[in-house]
Amino acid sequence: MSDVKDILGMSRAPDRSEVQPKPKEQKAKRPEGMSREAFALLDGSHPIAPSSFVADLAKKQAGLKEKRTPAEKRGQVVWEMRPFKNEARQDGLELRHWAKCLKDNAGRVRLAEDGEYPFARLDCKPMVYRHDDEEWDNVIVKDADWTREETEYLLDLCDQFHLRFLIIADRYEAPAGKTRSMEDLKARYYTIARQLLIAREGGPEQVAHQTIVKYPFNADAERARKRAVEALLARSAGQEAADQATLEAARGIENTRRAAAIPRKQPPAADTVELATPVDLPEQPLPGASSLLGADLKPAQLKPGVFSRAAHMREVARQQLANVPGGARAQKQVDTLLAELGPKGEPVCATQATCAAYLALRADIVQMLELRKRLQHRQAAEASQGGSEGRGRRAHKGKVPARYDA
Amino acid sequence: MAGDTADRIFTGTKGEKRLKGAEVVYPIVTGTVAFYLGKKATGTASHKWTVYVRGFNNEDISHVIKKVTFYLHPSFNNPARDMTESPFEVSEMGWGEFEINIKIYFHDDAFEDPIEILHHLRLYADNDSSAQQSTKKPVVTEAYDELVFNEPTEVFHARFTAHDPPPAKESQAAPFFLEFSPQQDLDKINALRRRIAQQKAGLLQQFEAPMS
Repeated sequence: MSDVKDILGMSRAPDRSEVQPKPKEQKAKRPEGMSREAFALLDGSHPIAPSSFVADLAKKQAGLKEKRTPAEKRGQVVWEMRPFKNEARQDGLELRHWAKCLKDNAGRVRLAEDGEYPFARLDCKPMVYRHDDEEWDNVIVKDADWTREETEYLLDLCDQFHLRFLIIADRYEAPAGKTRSMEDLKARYYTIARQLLIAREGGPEQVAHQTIVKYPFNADAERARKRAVEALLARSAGQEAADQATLEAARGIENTRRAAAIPRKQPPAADTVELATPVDLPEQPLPGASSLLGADLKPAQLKPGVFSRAAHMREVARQQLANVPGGARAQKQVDTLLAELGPKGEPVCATQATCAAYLALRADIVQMLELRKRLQHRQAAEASQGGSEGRGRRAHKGKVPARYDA
Repeated sequence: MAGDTADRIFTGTKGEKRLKGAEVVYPIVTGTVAFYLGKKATGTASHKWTVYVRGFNNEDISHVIKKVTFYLHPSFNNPARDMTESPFEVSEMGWGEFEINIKIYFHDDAFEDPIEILHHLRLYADNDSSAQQSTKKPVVTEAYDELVFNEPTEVFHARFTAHDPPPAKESQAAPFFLEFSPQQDLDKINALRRRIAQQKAGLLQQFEAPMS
């Protein structure tokens, strides 16, 4: 091209006005914390915007940074047996345990977990309703069985053991002559609590939503329930099996009852049902038509000649099945159904009437098997559809990684 | 069993005159009767049997049938046995069961090709060769069939309808011929048809009222 310029008499110096500086290609920068190999997998189509994964990387870095420094700056990890106090205790008991410490050149300091003893916050006490003198006189319904002393003793125990009635019942020392079961104790406590709560709040309507008011303690029910549970546990293996069997039977009866409740038409009785092809196929051959029937159960168009009716019938029977998809299996099904006619599944006497009826029978059987197959397919389709609908739309999509489930 | 009076006469492939739309139906029975020889049985001849073609009512069939050739197992001497007169049967002694090809030839005036019927020779009842065999009671297998002459020749049709066959010459196997009841057969088939139709109706109901 340089000679063109020569010919035209133009100068050979490169024309700067024509050449635009190419826009500088932006090379994406690998974010810190992302490995070189991982970055190489990305292409430039998606800008690496500040997304969660970058934030995670930042966090990781922060974490790494944090772990990297203590060795030099914070000190060496040392474990020490140190006394500690549990803030939840009232008695000021001081125990000792191993605590992680950091040794620097001079002294020792406990790790950042310095603070409240972490298990102290697990000590939660439920609210125990206690009466005072006034309430004893006015609010609480007097129970002949419970003296004031005993009631207060019970409440003390409730306080002490945080309403854990198993322990309370175990530690309870009933006055002479009486036995207090757990239900008795519970009943007494919850009755009192209920009355106190209602009185304190002003009326039953205000606290109607509270559990104590809504579901008053039913001692008899509790006793019955515990008896039942014990009986359940105490069953032998044989009894267990018998119970299961009874349950199964009950379920079965329930199902049948449900099925029977749906009004269903009876299939018509055998002798009233109409045959698809007429019973009275003509005894005498119609004038002008052969008495040998073809696969369509109409007189066959045959050449003049002599035929064996039995042989012809077999041939037509074979043709009937040739049109049916399903091949050997269909053949076997038909044969099984026909087996009761005779050893060969054919009529013994191949007369015109029997041959006609036999071919009609085969046609009907083929139709019935077809119907049955369609019905089975439909039921299978319904069953599988019902199953997948239950699991949600995603079930159709095959394998969806669990991580991406919203 | 006789054909209708024909509408027209047409000419067949060999120049014969045939009756259009007419039919001659002739029932016959092919059968085998086999006796166990008992003490006289040998290794090669344990049974004595007869294969035959007979008329349904034991009448003489030679007005329809000119000749019957029985093709026996090749192990027999002269396995093709021609019988040209009634009774159309062959008696032999042997030990094995096989298929006998029975070729039936018709008279010339029928202008028909011969027809072949296969018949399985059964020597043992219940397919069990170790079962008790009696020398007095034979194993009888009979097959009923109908020869359907489609559009027969005019001559044959005329002769056939006019002829009243006499009873056949007594065959050796005659006492053991079986009885056939086409009506019973028909009833059985129709009963089965009804049951199938009932099943179909039931299935159709299930289709119309789907239940999960």
